[in-house]
Amino acid sequence: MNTKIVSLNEDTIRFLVDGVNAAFANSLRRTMVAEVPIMTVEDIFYFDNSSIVPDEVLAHRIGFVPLTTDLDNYVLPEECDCEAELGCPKCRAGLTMDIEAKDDTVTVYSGDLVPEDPSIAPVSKRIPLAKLAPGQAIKFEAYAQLGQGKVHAKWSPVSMCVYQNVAFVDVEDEAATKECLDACGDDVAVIEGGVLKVIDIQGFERCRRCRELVRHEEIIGGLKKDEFLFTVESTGGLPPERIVKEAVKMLKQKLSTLKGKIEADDLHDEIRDFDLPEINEGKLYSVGSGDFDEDEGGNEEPQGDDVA
Amino acid sequence: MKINIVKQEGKYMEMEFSGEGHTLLNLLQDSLLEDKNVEMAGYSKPHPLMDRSNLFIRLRRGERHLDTIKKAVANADGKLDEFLADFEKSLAETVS
Ligand SMILES: [Zn+2]
Repeated sequence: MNTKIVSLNEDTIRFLVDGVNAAFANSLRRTMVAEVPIMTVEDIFYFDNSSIVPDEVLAHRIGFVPLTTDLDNYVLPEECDCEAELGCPKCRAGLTMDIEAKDDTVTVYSGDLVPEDPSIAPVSKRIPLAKLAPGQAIKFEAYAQLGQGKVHAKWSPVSMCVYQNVAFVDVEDEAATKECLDACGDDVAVIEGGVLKVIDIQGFERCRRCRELVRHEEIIGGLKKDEFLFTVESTGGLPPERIVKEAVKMLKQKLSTLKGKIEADDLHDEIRDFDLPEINEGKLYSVGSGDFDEDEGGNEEPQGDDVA
Repeated sequence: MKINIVKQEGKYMEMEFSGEGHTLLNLLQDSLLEDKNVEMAGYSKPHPLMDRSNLFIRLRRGERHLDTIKKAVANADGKLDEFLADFEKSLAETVS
């Protein structure tokens, strides 16, 4: 196995992995997309919202605002020992907003969210959330939690995470190819031992000169089965290389859970097809929503007779 | 992760998983198939909305399915370790 970082900047990493199969690559990709946790707003308590954006629409928008994540100091709420409905300082971080338009129309941006913990703050300050006409105001308290992309897409740490095969093509005119490659850059293709290694096929074919030299069919015919180019683009919550490392850790965790269960001979669990998560009834969520009391359900008069 | 052995007859074994899907089972299946003593290994997810996946294994010799799975797990784990070490090494080279 061999890996090589093709490019790395603050939000995107591209790397090559040689000597793994598609199952490995896909498991890694799936873990990055759906399992690596990230911080996002989950609960919002409004004190005031007189803007034209309804509470739930605004809440949905705020949920999708990427927040920088501190994975070392926070835990997933389900793994926290506090069992509090809104969490504790170990499993949630607060953000507040208090903004009012006085004489002019005001655009509310993600930068107006005031973080309680500076390490859990909006990645970008320039995401528009709502507009306020003079006299309108928004005031709320929001709680961010760690979560996983498989629960909701807002918790996915990557905006793009893909892999593709690398192609090896025999070149006829090495001088011409070299000249072209110099223009394209070595993160698109390189010549290795007289063979052209196309790392980024789309990038390669974007160059007209390269496209004339090597036909598309030749590239497709020369795909190498066990070498992949990964492109991981972070939403900004975690550095991209951290996402890759966390994904490996989480996959290893899964494997060790499986191993532990086999060793403990814990292999006769009851499996239900639709295991719904327990719904947290009552308490804060039901304020004002009118609690439905099961005991009173039977006292309702049968309907239909009155109509006749 | 929930596991239930549905069937274990001679060289054949069938297992149900809940809380796990393609992410783990595809990796596991692939790792099992690298074992020379595994004649057949596969998994299926009957319905994408149901939290159930089935894993099937048939061995060539013996009836030690669980040991075979443990071996496959160790194999996949080793690959991940190797990848992580490699990745961190090339990362250090890139950053410096
Ligand atoms: Zn907690």
